[in-house]
Amino acid sequence: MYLLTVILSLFMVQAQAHDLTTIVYAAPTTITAGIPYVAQANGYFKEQNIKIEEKLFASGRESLEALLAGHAQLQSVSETPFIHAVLQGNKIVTIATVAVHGEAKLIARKDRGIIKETDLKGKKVGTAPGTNSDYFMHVFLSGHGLKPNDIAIFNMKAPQMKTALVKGDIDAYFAWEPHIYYAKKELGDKAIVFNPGQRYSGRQTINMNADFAEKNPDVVRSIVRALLRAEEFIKKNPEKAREIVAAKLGVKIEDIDPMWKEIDFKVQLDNGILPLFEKIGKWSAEMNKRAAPIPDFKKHIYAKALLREKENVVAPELR
Amino acid sequence: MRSGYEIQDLCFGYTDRRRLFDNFNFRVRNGEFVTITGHSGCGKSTFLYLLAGLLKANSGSIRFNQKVNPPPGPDRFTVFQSDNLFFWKTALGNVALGPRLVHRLTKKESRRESLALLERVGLKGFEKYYPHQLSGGMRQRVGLARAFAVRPDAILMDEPFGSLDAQTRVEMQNLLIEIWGEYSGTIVFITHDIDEAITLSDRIVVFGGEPVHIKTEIRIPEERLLRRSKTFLPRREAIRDEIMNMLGAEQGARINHEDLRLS
Amino acid sequence: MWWHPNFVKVRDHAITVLFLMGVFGAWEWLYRSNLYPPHLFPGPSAVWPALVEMAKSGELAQDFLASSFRWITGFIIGTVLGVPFGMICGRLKFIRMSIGGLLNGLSSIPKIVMIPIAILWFGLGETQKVSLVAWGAFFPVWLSSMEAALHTPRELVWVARSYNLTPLQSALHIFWPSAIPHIVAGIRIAISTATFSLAAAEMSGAFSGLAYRVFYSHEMFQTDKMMAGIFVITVLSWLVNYAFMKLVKYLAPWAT
Repeated sequence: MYLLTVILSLFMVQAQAHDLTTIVYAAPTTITAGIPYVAQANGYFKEQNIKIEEKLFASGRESLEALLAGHAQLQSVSETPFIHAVLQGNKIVTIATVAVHGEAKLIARKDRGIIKETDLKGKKVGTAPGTNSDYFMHVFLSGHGLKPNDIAIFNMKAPQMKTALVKGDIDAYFAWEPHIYYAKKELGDKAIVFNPGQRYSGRQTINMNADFAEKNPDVVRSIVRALLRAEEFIKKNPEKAREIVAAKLGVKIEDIDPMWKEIDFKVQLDNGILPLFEKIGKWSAEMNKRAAPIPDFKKHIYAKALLREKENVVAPELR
Repeated sequence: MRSGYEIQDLCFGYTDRRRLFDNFNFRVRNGEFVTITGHSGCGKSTFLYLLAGLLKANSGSIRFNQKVNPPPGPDRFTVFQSDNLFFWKTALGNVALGPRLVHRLTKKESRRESLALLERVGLKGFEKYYPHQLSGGMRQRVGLARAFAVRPDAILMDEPFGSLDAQTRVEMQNLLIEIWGEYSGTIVFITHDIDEAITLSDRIVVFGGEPVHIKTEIRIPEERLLRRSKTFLPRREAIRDEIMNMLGAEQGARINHEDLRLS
Repeated sequence: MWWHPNFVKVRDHAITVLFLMGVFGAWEWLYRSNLYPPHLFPGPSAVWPALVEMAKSGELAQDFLASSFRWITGFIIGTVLGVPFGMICGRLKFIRMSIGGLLNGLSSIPKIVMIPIAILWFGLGETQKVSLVAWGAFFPVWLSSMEAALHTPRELVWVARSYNLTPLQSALHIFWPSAIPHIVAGIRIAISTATFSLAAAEMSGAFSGLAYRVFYSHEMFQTDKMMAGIFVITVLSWLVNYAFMKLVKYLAPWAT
């Protein structure tokens, strides 16, 4: 009886501690998640009375799975996997985006005759199906009047693309950083990199389960506040911020430098986000030949918290 | 020229330090049925494998039909206690492989010969059965047929009926005597069963160890057909007692030896 | 009824069927209980429509054909190389001690790790995939053949010596057939390992294939199609194993 009481009380203490402020954050390993990394490293979440338990995943795609399975309450990922998950009926919301980036790129071999965009025609091209660089390929091809049938597509995992390109099994590939950077480093002048430019800007999204966000509006606000503090810090101390991110990813500062410049670290829900979600949603539905209706993406953007904290970074149509 | 076995000054040991055989001498006449018995581990089986050529003597000579220390060959076939049939072959296939490969018989000839042998060992109708479909006794019948099929000059048998029940054992003993009568040849037979030895042998040799030496030899000139009769019983008892005494004496001596070492 | 000669057979099959029904029932119950997010853990009632959808669109047939080709070709190559090479390793000490040791080390490398090397050597086409499957099928067959040849019962070897067989005759009449039960066991394991390798192979450079479909559906959060793919692979593996054992029973009833 005594033992039972002890065990029960232990559980209650644990439950209370949990209810109070602990949030499991499923984090991807990517520079674009710089803001949440800094917020955690500088203790900004703690300042807001939130204890973040950070769990690092190899990719955003995997960390999203942890959120869907209920093992995490907070996570971040590129917008593309988020959209796929929404299309399959998962009830999740984006509370903010923390980076706009041009990470998705095309690298091609000049010695295989690819100098300008349209040279891609008839070439062997690697892509990781369903990723944001795969979406970039779709945008890139249609933007240059090419059809998917005009190139020979090779579905691959990103880490294998470099080998295949260097060896010459493919002539080009669409991927994201750092998979472009390392291939370019190895191939040097033999390779050419095409940036997405205006065609496509990727977003790092911060997401939660819809139920949880609705039931805990104060927690969401606290998180957003901490993220905004981190944004400030990165603006004022870019050097320090880079150190923090490099340490988190376990790489040298030099190796994140070239990509850092291409990332706009900003907590926002701007007017570009809804059209982007809709375009990717349309693409995803077409690609999967599933006639499910495209959902209303507005329902998957939880703007209330950011609106309270910093109204001017929320697009009018989301208010 | 068949002249049986002549073993002279045989030396053998599995390791350098322990000599299982030290200048051991032995003789088996051609056509003789010799049974060797003795305590487990005294070297009986090793002796049989030396006779088969499967083990090599360190020194000394084993003569068989004028050949000195011959390598294994089809003139001496070994039958083991454990089930060592070709499990991937039918009863017929098991018997026929030897004649085909050793005597270069055609498929048809070896088949005919093997079928006759299988019928002889009482397995008519079971030619197409695989070993795993046969009982222990039937498998040993196939083993016998396989041994006689290569018409060896000597058959070396290592407790071939050791794992059979009493009833089957007696059947197999009778069968062995019958077939042996027809095919002739020398048989060296190892058994722990003294009654079996008395029933089968021309001569029983009791081995003692180690090094291996002959504790006693008993010749049984009586007709084998008579040995299961009542009139033979007293003689059977006498032989059994003699062998048991020999084995028992050794057991006692061994214990004394241990006691000495302990004190 | 129980006096009927087929009673035991019918009863045994009934046990299997009831068990499977129980498994499916539990699966469906778990799905409906909402214990796990239903989107991540679809039950039979959600997977079946996905399977029908895949069958109707022709996706399933295409995946099946692509995977079958890779699996069958690779499996045959791996097995045909594994058996004789294993037997040779078992009988010849210097080969076992040199190449055998190396292979033993390589055998525990996960097949996924071999993908970059396979791409490097064989490119992105079917050769790379077939070679990975062959690689996966090779090891268990090689290992069981080697073990079998190494531990051929002493008495059988002695019979061969008594028959004065040539090395070729010994191999043909004694070592090879006596190894078959072990090799059969090795091949049954190879059926699984070849399938693991197929999955690894279809992770890159593929557009179709059952394992590719599973990965792709997973990437797209289409867990119903993913589960359907897993279900098909499970059923096929079972069927292949069953067919193989039937074949062994027919060709070599003594080997099971």
